[in-house]
Amino acid sequence: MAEETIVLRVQRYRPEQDSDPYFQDYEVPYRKDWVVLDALNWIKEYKDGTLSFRWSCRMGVCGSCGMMVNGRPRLTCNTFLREFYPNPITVEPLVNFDIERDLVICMDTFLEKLKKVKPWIIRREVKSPEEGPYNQTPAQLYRYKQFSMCINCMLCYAACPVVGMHPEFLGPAALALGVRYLLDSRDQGWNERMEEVGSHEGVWGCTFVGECSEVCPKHVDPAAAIQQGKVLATLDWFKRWLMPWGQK
Amino acid sequence: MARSNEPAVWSLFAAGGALTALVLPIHVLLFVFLVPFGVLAGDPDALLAFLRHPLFRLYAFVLCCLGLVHAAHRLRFTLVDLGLHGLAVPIAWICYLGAVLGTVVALYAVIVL
Amino acid sequence: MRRPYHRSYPKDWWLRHPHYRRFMLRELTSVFVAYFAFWTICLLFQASRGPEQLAAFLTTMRKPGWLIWHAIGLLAVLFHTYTWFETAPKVLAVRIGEKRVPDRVIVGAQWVAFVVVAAVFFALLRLAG
Ligand code: SF4
Ligand code: FES
Repeated sequence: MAEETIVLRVQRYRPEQDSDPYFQDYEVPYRKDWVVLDALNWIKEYKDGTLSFRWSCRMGVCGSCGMMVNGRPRLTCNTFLREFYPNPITVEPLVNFDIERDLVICMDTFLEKLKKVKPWIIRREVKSPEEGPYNQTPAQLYRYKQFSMCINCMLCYAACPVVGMHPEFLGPAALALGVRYLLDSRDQGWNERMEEVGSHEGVWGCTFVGECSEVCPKHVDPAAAIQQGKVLATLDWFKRWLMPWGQK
Repeated sequence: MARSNEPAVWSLFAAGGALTALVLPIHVLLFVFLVPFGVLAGDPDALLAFLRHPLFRLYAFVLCCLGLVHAAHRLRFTLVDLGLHGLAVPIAWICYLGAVLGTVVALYAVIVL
Repeated sequence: MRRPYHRSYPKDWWLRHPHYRRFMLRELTSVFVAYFAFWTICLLFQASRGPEQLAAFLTTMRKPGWLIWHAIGLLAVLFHTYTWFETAPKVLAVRIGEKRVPDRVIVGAQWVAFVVVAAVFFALLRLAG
């Protein structure tokens, strides 16, 4: 009995020899319980060892296996072949990023953007470990918890047209993280963080397309975080105009 | 990077968006459809008295002003998104100036009414 | 060797996915928001010229061409209302203690307000004659 197969159209780009990316078709065994990442690993193991792609956990927590699957940004470790079978599946590197090699993207710009929103707790005076933790009530925790679930998979960047058109836009994940710290009762870095989050490259670059929240595998809802960031920035702005003396 | 002054227009955009979402469909249904067909306020004198009521003047002015600012702000970004990247600055000027001009005309209209 | 390959963003991105097309439609409702503000200003100017002028203006609005145009506009502003109400809970996350008020409660409350406003407007015009 002939084995069932499915075709993967994979975008290739090897910087030392290819001037432009091109597509290569691979016929892989079709298994109901295989995800796209399983198929890629099978190709690498049995067909073509030169194919490059990132992955690690295979269970949707590390955020490294994001690719365009039939034009949509997806985690390849939780996208099953059966969703597309018997049609061929096109796999490309995430859009809105430069391509490092094959399915691997350059994440330098993303890491720069993450750093800009200062994703750590800023304190005027830092407690020593002996003095104990910064306590927080459950209600205070729930204000930002959803926005802290991000796994940095960058699917939202590939989904966002503003990122595509304006590369300087800080983008969904970084801004959701910035807003997450603005909403954290333990944080005292409001002013310096608002300089970034409340800038033109920050929340004000967003036109609320909302696609970031559609593709986010962790239901972070970065679009909501950004709109709430706009509200925070607006309140902040009015406070500064109405009570200029109230600034620390 | 620095904090943007965008909140000045965004707050008006949001206020206009909320107000028009709440009242514009019914406003249009009443004044653009039902009133011309005489279903409501069929007598022109009675309608005129209604329109001249100070509260209606205030309402009409606020609706036109906020509606225009809301639309100007939205269109400004939409036109750029549609591909007019090089024209972002003139588009912003035209949109906001149009809204300001419309607001002045609306103010004049509710005064001379 | 590092030689990052840069892809440019397609100009017709907003045609490429149903969600993007819906977004573009939502944004373009602003054209009709502006138009009806303009129409209202016209109504006020016609009214300022007396009852006959006002009646003539309103009669013109019964012509089929105007009706079709305005019907499209009414659909557009209704779509604006629908999308605005739908996205409001994302902008204003209302919390009571540890719980977030469910989105559908906020959306529903806005539709209730919409109906109340509609009833009040209708009643006021009814009283006017
Ligand atoms: S916000 Fe969601 S889609 Fe974006 S990087 Fe984080 S987990 Fe991925
Ligand atoms: S491999 Fe870790 S998220 Fe897919």
